[in-house]
Parts: sequence; C-alpha cells; structure tokens
Amino acid sequence: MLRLLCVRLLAMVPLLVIVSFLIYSLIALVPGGPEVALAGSNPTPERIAQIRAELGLDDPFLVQYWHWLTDVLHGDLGTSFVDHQSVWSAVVAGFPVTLSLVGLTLLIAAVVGLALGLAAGLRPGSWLDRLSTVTASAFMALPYFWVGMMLVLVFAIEMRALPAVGYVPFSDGPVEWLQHLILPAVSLATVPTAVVARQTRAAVTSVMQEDYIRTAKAKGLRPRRVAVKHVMKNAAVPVVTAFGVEANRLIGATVVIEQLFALPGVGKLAYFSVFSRDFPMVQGILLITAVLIMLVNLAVDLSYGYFNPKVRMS
Amino acid sequence: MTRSESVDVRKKVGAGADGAPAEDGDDLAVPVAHGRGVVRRFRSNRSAVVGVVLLLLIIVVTAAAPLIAPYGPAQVDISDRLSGPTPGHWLGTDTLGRDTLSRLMYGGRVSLAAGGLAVLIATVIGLPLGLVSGYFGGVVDWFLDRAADVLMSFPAIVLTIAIIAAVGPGLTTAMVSLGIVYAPRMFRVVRGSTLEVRREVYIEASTSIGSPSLLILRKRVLPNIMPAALVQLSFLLASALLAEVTISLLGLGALPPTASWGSMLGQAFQEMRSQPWLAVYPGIAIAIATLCFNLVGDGLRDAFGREQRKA
Amino acid sequence: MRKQLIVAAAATFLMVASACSADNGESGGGGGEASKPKQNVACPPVDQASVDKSATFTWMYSVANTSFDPDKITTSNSWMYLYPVYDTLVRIDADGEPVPMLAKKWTIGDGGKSLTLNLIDNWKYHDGTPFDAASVKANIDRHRADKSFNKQALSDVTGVDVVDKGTVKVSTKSGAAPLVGILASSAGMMMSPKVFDDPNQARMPTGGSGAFKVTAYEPNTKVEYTPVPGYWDPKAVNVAKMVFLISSNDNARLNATITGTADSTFLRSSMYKPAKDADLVVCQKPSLASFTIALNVKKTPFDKKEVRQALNYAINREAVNELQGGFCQPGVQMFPSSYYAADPSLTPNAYPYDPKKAKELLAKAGLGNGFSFTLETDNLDAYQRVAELIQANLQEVGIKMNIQPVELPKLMEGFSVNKTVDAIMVQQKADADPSIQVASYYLPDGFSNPGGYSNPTINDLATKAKAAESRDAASKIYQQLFKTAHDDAAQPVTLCHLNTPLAMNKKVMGVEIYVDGSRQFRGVAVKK
Repeated sequence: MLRLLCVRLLAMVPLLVIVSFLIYSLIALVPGGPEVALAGSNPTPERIAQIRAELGLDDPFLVQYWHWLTDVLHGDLGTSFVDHQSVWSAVVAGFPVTLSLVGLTLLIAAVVGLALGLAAGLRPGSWLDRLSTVTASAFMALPYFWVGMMLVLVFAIEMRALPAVGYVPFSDGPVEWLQHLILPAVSLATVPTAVVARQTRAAVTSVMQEDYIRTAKAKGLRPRRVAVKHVMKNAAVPVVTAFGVEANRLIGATVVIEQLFALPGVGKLAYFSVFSRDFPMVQGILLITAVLIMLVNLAVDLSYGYFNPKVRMS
Repeated sequence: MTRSESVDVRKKVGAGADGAPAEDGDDLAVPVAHGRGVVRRFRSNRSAVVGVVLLLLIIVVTAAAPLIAPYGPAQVDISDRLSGPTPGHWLGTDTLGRDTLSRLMYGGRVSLAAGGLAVLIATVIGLPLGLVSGYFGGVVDWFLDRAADVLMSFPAIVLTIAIIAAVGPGLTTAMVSLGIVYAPRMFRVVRGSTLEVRREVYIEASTSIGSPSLLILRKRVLPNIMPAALVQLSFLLASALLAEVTISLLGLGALPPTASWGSMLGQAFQEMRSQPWLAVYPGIAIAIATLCFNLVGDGLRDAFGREQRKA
Repeated sequence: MRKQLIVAAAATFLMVASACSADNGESGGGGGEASKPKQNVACPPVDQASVDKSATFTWMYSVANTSFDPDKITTSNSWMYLYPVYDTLVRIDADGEPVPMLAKKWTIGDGGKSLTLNLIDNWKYHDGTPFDAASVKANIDRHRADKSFNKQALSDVTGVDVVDKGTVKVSTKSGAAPLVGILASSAGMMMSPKVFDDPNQARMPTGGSGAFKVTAYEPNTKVEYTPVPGYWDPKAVNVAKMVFLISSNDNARLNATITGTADSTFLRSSMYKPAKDADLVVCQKPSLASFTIALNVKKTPFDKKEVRQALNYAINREAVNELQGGFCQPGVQMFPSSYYAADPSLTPNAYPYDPKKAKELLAKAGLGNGFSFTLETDNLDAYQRVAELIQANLQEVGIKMNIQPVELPKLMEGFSVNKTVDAIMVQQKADADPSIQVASYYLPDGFSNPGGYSNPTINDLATKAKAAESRDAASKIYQQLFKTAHDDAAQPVTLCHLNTPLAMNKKVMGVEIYVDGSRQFRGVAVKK
C-alpha cells in the first residue's frame, strides 16, 4: 500500500510539469493582456507599453514560463497584476471557504444519499423506493444554481431564517459558519446526493440477492437487518465513488455558487481573476486546483482499492 | 488514475433506475449477439421509452420552430415587456417584450445543438483514441492515459471559462472547449471496454489466425464497445446541457440576440423578482431534457447489461 | 411506469410553486403601463438627535478597489474606497459644486493659469506627519509623476510652489479651472510623504489624511474603516465603524441589503421593484453618467456625417429608458442639458425617434440597402439587453448590428488601443472635470476617439474652456462646443443619462447621491 502510494505520488510529478506548462501557455498566449486596464483612464500608448514591459509580458514566452516555473518550485506563485497581493496568500485566504463548502456538500450528499439509497434498495418497487428514485432523478435534473436561488428566496428573504450571503470562519463561531454555508451547500449537494443514492440502491439490491442473505433468511434471521449491516460496512464504496466522480464538477460549480452567495472563496477569486486578466492569479489557482484534483483522485483510487479487495488485486 | 474513471463506469452501471444491479463495469464490454433482444428489453423499459418519446418530441418541436413558433425569436416589443401569460403570448414575454414560447422553441435548437456538438467532439477525440489505447496497449496506451490524466485534472468549467476568456465568447467556442474537456471521459470508457473485449477468447483466436489489427478493431471490437460508448454518450449529453446553462449564466454563452435555454435562464435571473415565470419555462425545459437523456442512458445500459447476464 | 411522469411533474411543480412563492404582485404586465419612478427622491437626512454613535454602517458594492494608494489604483471605481482614508484638497459635493476641504479657500490667478490654495491648519496625517504646504507639493508632484494613475489628469500642471507653510500655488500650461474638480479626485488625495515609497500602503494604508483608517481588509471581499480620533471636521463622523462589502452578483447584493447583512447598496433597474417591495428606502437622483455608443470614425461608413445622424434618429431612446425601468433619461449630448457644461437647447427632441428620416439619411449617404457592423459591449446582462434593443431598432432601418459581449479590459483594448473595433457601447462615468471627457472623445488623439475625429472649432473651444476663469465663462464655451458637436453629429452617440438609485434600510441617514456618480459616505449615520 505504502509503495503504491509512493509510486503514484512520484508519477504525479511529470504530470504536474505538463499540466503547469499547459496552464501557463493557455493563459500567457492569450492575445492581449491586462495592461490596458491597468493603465488607468485615458492612458497614453507609451504608458501601456511601459506597463507591459514592467509585467514582463514582452519577454519571450519560454523565458516567461521558465521564470514562473522556477518561482513556483521555490514556493512563489507570484503576485497579482491587479492588486499586487501574493497569489499564494490570496488562494490560502479563499481555500478554507471553498473547502468548508465542498466538505459540507459532500457530508450532506453522503448522509442523505445513503438514507435514500438504503430506503429504496431494501424494498425495491415499494412507494418508498419510488419516492426515493423520483427524488434522486429530480436532483439530477434540476440546475443547482436555480435551486440555490429558490432556497435564498424562501429561507433568507421570505422566512429570514438563514443569512442570504457572506461567510463566517469556523473559528469565529461554528454556528454562524454553518448558518452561512447551509444554503449554498444544499444547492451544491443535489447532484452528488442523487449519485450516492443510486450507487447505494444498486449496492443494496445486489447484496439482497447474495447467497448468504438467502442463507440468513433460511435460518430465520431478518434478511434486511443483515443486508443493512453488510451495506453499511461497505457504505464507503458508493460514497467514495460518488465523491471521486463529483469532485471535479463541484469545483466548477463553486464558481457560480460563490457568486450567488457572495462567499469569498477560490471560485469567486477565479472568476474575478479570469475577467481582469490577472494571469498570475489564474495560473496559480489552476495549478493548485489541478494538484488538489489529482490528490483527490489518488485518494479515491487508493481507498477504493482498500474497500474493495477485488480491485486491489487487479 | 485509471481507476477513478472505471469508477465512473461503475456509477453508470450501478445506477439502475429500475433496480438492475450490476456489480461490475466489465459487463458493458460484451458481444452484442442479440441486437433484437436489446431492442426488446429497451422497449419494455417504460422509463426509457418515455425518455425517448419526450426527447423526440422536443427535437421535432424545436426543429420545426421556424414553422410553428408564433413570433420571431428576436422580435422586440418594448411596450409589452415582462408580461405574464396572455392570449397573445401563451408563456408571456421577456424584458425586451420577446415571446417566451417562441424563444423557448428556438432556444431548444441552440441548446441541443450545442450539447450535441460538445459530445460529438468528445466522441470524435475520445472514441478512436480509446480504441487504439485499449487495443494496442504499451507505450501508446501509457502516453494517452497520462494525457487523459492531465485533462482530467483541470476543473472542467474553470478551464472552459479560461479558454473562452482567451478566444472570446460564443457558444461554439464554449462547446468546442467543453468537448475537449469531456474527451477523456469518453476515452476512459472506451479504453476500459476495449481492454475487456480484447481479453475475450474469440479476439485471441482471430489474432492468431492473423487478421490485420485494423480489421479486428472495426469488425470485432468496435461493435462490442458501442454499448458502453452509447451509454456514456447519453450521460455526457445530459451533462453538456447543464454545462451550457452554467456557461450562459456567467455571460459566456450564446451571443445576443440568440436564444438558448441557458441564456434564457440567465436573463430570467435578472428579472427573477419582477417576473418569476421567466425562469420557470427554460428551467423545466432543461430539467426535462436532462432527465430524458439520463433515462435513455439508464435504459440502454440495462438493456445491454442484461444481455450479458444471459450470455 | 408512473414514476418518470412523477419526476417530470414534480420538477414542474417545484418550479411553478417557487415562481408563485416569489413575490409576484404584478404578473399581468410589469412594463409599459406601470407608472415611472420619479427622477429625484432625496435620501433621509441626518437627524442629529437620534444618531447612534456606536453604530456600524455597511455598504455593498459590485467591484473592489485595486489599491489603497491613490497613485497605484487603476480604476476610478477605487476612489470610493479611498475617500474615507484620504481627504482631498477640494471636495465636490453631492450637487457637483466645489466646496472647501483640506484647502479652506482657493483663487484662480495669472489670467486663469494658476491656482492658489490656502490650507487648513493644525491637521496631521494618520502617521503623525504634519499636514502643510510642503507635503501638498510633494503629493501633487508625486501624482503627476510618470507612473501615477493621476498623471493624465494633471498633465497640464507645469509646477507646484510652496508660498508659505499654509499656501500652495499650482501653475498650468493652458488653464487652472479644471484643476478645482481634478483636485477633488484621487489626484487631490493627500497622503503622508513618509509612506510614499512603502509598497504596503497598497493594502494597508497608514499615511491617510481623512476621517477614517482601514482597520481590516480582505481583498475583493471586505474593507473595515474606523474613525481617527480628533478629526478636523467632527460633523463628518457619525458612526463607530464603516464596512464596505463587495459582491459582483446583483442578486447577492440585493439579498444582503434586504436581510440586513448590508445597510445599503446601489440598484440596477431590474432591482428597483424588488427593493421597494421589500420595504427598503430607495432614493435616486439623475447623474452625469450615460449609456454611450462610441464609433471609430475611420471605419466606413461612420466617416459619413449622414450615417452618424441616421444612427441617432434610428435609436428609440424612450424605449431604452423603458427597458431601464425609467432610470435612463433620454439625452443627445455628452451631459444632461441641465448641467453647466452642456447646451440647454439640445433636449432629446433634437434627435426624435424617426426611422423614416434615418432611412432617408442612409439613402442620401448612398447606403439605401443598409450596412452591417459589430458593436462590442460589456458582458454584463444589463448592457447586453440595451444592445439587443438597439439592434432591433437598427434592423428596422436596414442596419445589421452584430453584438459581441466582452469583458471590460478587452473592450478598451480592441476599441482604443488596437483600434480594430467598429463601435462599443459603454456606461460613460463622469470624470473629475468635463474637459477630460471632451478631450477623450472629441480631440484627435483622444483615448475614446480611435478614428481620429477632428473638428477645428471643437478643438479650439476645448482649449478655451480649460482656460476659462469661472464656471460661468466655461459654461458659455461648453454650450458652443456641444452645439458644434451636435451640428457635425460627432461621435459618440449618447443614448441616455443614468440614474442609479440607492437602497437602504430605514435606520440609515445622511447617505447622499453624488451627481458625478461617485460614491461617498461622508457624514453617514445610523438611527438608534
């Protein structure tokens, strides 16, 4: 296991170099840069040219990339073109918000999804099964930001039960933290919940057909209880599976949801940076997210092998 | 990182709408000896049939939009803006006084075509590469698999936004970049299936007889991986449809005055509080179309899947 | 199987139900016949007796500042975040009139070429450095130096002299009158010379001269201001804290204000009714900002006067106003006709909506079959809707206009720098002095005049206006200037003058709407 981990981590290194090159060229080869916007109102052509030179945008592309890469290897992601804050500190400031949001989303998805899946899988064809399947299908099809919008209208504007916007760090008050995150997390959780529910349902129905359940039945044990035990033991599999599939999508979805709920996370930062052509910021965010997604995929793969020996063998 | 994508296959496989349990992703990669059986089973799956019928209905209505839509999609009437349902405008009008029903019909063409384009590109790139990668293995496989890893490690929407910011907005740009981002998902599924098919005895047999690889790929492998590819195709379509909405919501989608379901929904959000109905219609259209693609995907998978258990 | 139908039905039901639960007072028709909002509604004034001195005032805006150093900012939107920290030499009040601030008095001399400022006494920068003439000279010299944001605005200044400890004299090449307004902008913000070279000022200013200090800052999210003790004008400070929040999402801003996370925000036209429905106090005042289409007159056929006139006749400005919910008053010149730098005779009637006349003019220009061009505009929803309306208007007279939404940097780059774009539509905000905007659009090397449009009469009048010694004198020259521009159908095509209402809860007092579109909260208070 440890060896596998090391091998996989090492394999990430060349991958990261390629990823970094792609990220850098994608952003740096964009026609036009931020210099016009940075030159203030009614700028002269000389001022614009001067800013380009100052930002190092006139250097040959490979030189720029080399500078960036060596800086990154030294732990320096550069500074923002727009407000000159360090990219690293900006991302570090945003990550707790985004991670809180994604974490809470996955927690909701796991709990609700498992419950729905279990309820459906234990009694296939029952009204409970239908209700659960219908709910899951609806969750799959409803656009998540539309859900978010509705939740705000109902719970924040009409009922005044929860805040409509903003973020409070966990350390400043866990209750406020939860109150601020619950609406955005629920809106993001719809699809992952549906995925977990469907996975779980499939797992339960298949367990119910296993020989030892039949044996248990024959022995007079209550087959459902046995099945629940068995499924719960393996509940991690469908949940982890869904997480792996959804991680990438969720990171994209936070871009929209953080706007709607004015959360100061990485998604909001990414959106803002792309449009103000803040190259170092966009490059830094993409690089860090790429690393994170790789790590999540790795963790999912490893845990998947851990939970399911069949896979580990192959 | 191969496993995570075969996990993706599992998800589709294990996600039986009417309880077809399938433990193993491998069951997609099996000989389709009984095509008629598949069709029969698909037809007996009422959810899938409902999905197909609704989809066909949507396609027919949107395709016929120029013939049946009561107004032009860009016909502005500022004196009759933001109206609710009236006899003249069954679904009301938007902020410029354009007929919502007409825009919904025309918008469907744009949205479906856009989703189709993204998935087409993903398939054109992912399918042949997946075949080659899975069948030949070795260095080619290793290399392509790493390339897929690279693409998969970018957050899809963020990457798409960055590409659009570079190239300029427009639905075609958006969907081409989305297609590229989706390509590894198709690649992984096809590669996985090809690996399985390759192991099948009859392929070994034909190799030993000495048939050229290309012929085997076309005659033997391709038909057997089509089920998996088709299933993935329908799920990607659903996903692309929702992605179009996200992209439009960020103001990066269809250029005005073109209507698409996503851009209609995005605009409706601006008027959410003065005319909430505006968000309802495109929302329902997107939800139903997405649902149908998922239902068809489920149905296909079940139909193909049961084939294997019999075999 | 029933359940798929149930899914579809459930989805439909969910959406319909929530549509109904959304405030839907007026589903019969929100547009045409609805009564238009008034153009001028004052915000509640400060009632000294009920001021809660321990209160926090929270404002929410759509974009952040780019620095806290008045020289390092890159947008004029940043001014709003700097005003609490830095006092300016002159202040432009809410009505657009110059009033004393750090300069208690000023005189224009040397035949209109110099400005002498008498400074207030006994005031110190936040770091303890005394505020005196030498520091003012240092600031102005820094502001007009090479890399400063304010260099362009101060380009006419030839020298700054310290007359005595409390008096500074600024000399100019062509005229000092515009300086009064310019010194009320970031170009007149005073910062302690001790911190000039400290890069940290960009994020945490310590050398301010205003009523507040920045005490907490989260980039792109939140700025917190705390009053400095012993401020020279105590009436200007009525709160214990000010917080500026930032969110680019209109819905988030409105929701925050309705639920009390923020006390006040500005409204786009689509937010007006929901804000009213939520029982917020809404006040509004016409501003100098306008929706404007700038043309590259080097691109055919915009070089033809008839074509530019045809555009003006083909656009239905009333409809644009309608689309903006009554918050964009039709206008045909750069500033509203009531402004001092405007021609009062040029009312919207100068260009009535007349598609027939537009067609005639096009025919006269040899373009009876119309033509096509591309308009770039901001990718914000509000801009795109206005563009779509114009598109439909122009379609009627045979002009095919393609719309290309782009982000703001690209907009300026394509039009003004690379000069590849035919036309752009922007919201033109008022600058510190009318001369800046005039130079940008009308003078041959103006930033917003990539086609190099040039009219000798206008060039001449623009120079004269800068040298005018009084506002009255300048007013007469501008009147002539805009008349000439109209007669020549000079670009840009002005559509309408914006009125951006502010919404606030019932506790807020003393918010003022500045006619120049700047956002300042001097003297704002909160009820007990």
